[in-house]
Amino acid sequence: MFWGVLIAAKPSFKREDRNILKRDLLPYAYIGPHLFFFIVFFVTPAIYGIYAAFTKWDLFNEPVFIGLDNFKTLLFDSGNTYYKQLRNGLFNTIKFVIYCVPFCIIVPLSLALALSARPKGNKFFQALYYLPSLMSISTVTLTWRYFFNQDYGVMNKFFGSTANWFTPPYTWVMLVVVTVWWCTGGTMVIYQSALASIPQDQYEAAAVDGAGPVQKFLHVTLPNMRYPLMYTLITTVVAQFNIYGQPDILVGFNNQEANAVLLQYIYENSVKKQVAGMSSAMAVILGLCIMAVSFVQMRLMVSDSKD
Amino acid sequence: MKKTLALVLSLAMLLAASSAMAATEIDYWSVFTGGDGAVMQGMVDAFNASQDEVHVNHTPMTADDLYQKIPMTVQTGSGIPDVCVVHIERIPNFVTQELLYSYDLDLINEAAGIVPENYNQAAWTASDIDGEHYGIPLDVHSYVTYYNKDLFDQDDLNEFVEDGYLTFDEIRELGDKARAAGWEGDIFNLGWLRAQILGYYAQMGDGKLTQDGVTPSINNEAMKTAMQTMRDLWQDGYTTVKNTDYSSKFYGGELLVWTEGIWMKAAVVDAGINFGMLPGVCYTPENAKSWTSSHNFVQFADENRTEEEDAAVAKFVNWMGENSLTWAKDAGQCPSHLSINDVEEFKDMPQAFLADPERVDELAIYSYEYWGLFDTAISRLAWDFVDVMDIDDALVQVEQEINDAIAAQ
Repeated sequence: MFWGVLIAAKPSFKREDRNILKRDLLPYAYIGPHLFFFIVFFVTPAIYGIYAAFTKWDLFNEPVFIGLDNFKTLLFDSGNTYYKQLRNGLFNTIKFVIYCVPFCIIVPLSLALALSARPKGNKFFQALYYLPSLMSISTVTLTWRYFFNQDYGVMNKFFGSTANWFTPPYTWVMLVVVTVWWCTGGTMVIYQSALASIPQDQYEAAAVDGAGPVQKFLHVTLPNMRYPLMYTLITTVVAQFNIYGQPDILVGFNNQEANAVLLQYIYENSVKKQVAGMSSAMAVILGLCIMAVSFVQMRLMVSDSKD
Repeated sequence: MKKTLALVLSLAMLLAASSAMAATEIDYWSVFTGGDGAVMQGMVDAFNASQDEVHVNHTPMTADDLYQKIPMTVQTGSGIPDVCVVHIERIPNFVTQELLYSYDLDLINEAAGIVPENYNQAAWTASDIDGEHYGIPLDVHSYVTYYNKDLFDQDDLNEFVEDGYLTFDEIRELGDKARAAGWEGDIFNLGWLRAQILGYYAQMGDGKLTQDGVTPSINNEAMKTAMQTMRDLWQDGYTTVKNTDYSSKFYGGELLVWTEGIWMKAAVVDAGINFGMLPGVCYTPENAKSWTSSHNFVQFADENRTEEEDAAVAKFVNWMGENSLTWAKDAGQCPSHLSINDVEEFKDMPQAFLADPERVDELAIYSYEYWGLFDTAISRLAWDFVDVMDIDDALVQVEQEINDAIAAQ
């Protein structure tokens, strides 16, 4: 309606001009509603969150600007609780990313390759593997918690084991297994789509040249899947840096915080302890880490595409 | 024309009359969302049906949600409930943040006959702060000891509970005796460790978490002893291990003595266990104390609330106190309105000892402005105290964490 009024108010516009105006402005009408909610619910809180990182704030009273004090404490005050929490939380988060991301790529890739051979029942298995992605993290983690319960869990009953799967040395293994189980479906579908779009004549040409299955995979499949792989690598790394639900529900802060990740500390400090300024500063540092890693990955991707 | 005028006048009179008779609407938020939520809703419905002067709209939500939501609501000044149930430990911090109004004791007495003498004194006095009174207790709920009577009969263990108390030494003795008789299940559990620690801590010293009201002072001999007691029992094999589903073990007859909250009574009854209930495990019966909390009716700051609404709240709160048998029977709680002691049906309930005015010293109720910080810190490290950390180091860490949080708030 706004554009209509605008156009009507300019009668001297020629029909051509009006069409150009319509063409140029119409996209904004489409993205407008999304942009509005994006600014209100994402950009504004993000900016306020960054501002909060430079304040002392108990969530109730007005934040008090204290400059870089929170960052000084987090980065240099080795005797302070938050210094220790940042180091421990960030270290564990990075550890989790390193443990988890390779499996989050390899497992769905293997499944996609297996399904692309169209074995009997492949549609059923595709649905089966995709199913966990539809569940919420609470459902997933609680299911696994009961499944691996020390006293009554199916696993221990079946194998006659008494292992406590949520204490060292099993904790990281459990966290990775649960995460991979949960995340595989979405990535697998992307890979299936990428595999389906690889021209068959490339495989035929490779076969004529005497390439075996491994060589076909290395020299035909992988190069053709470069972009989907890079895309999923970036999104998986970002997603795993934001890990929260799995350690929080499966392990909590047990085991001397050996598996506590940074988002757990951020949530606890801001919501439970109302130390919102310090916790925002932690979140900003985590955000910078994710940006740095994503930036490096993007650069690699761009330089790779130029080659 | 005359007819129209008459109709308008009649309608106006009808509206005026109906508004004069309209019940005062009260918004009530509570932290009851599970089985106790249904019981509370039933009580609210019963109150609404019992009279037509006050109508209560009950909004239940989880405690975490309520404690996050209420400061924001008070700050915005709209949608503030007229009355709200909170845990007693939260009150000092709400008072410091100027979120709460104190009760006008004359008003609640005149409006509904609420006087301090009608209530469990341990719970009532815990919300006396700087000469003002902030909470009217609905109940007291303690971390107590359940024992399986059938298993005790089977292994001839009743001598240990005859006096109505169970000491740490007796836990070991009855465990040894049961083991000698072939018992292969668990003896005692490590459950909600924070509640256990505080119950034991209160028996060893003054039971205070701070001396000056701000700085935590828990790195002391009493706390070390409380923690060491738990560690020793665990190391010597008298307790369940980490991550054990001890509730299921007790329901399944695989645990002799179960330390849990009285709020679990209904679940034990449902499980069909023939059980007895005692205070929290103690060092000596003379010094027995159980960690206890209390759900309190409070009024958050609201400039728009009228005196009429305050009086309506008082009527509702008093009715809940005088009709709290349902709360005891169906929610398993121990009402704090002392009239409950005159109810025959209550006297036969296992938790009745908690309402005994002569045993009020056995209730260890904590009050600390930074309870939330203390709770978070100690709950996070609780199992580490037991199985891996040096107790001295752990206490230093908890105190430091609270101090750093206070400085950063």
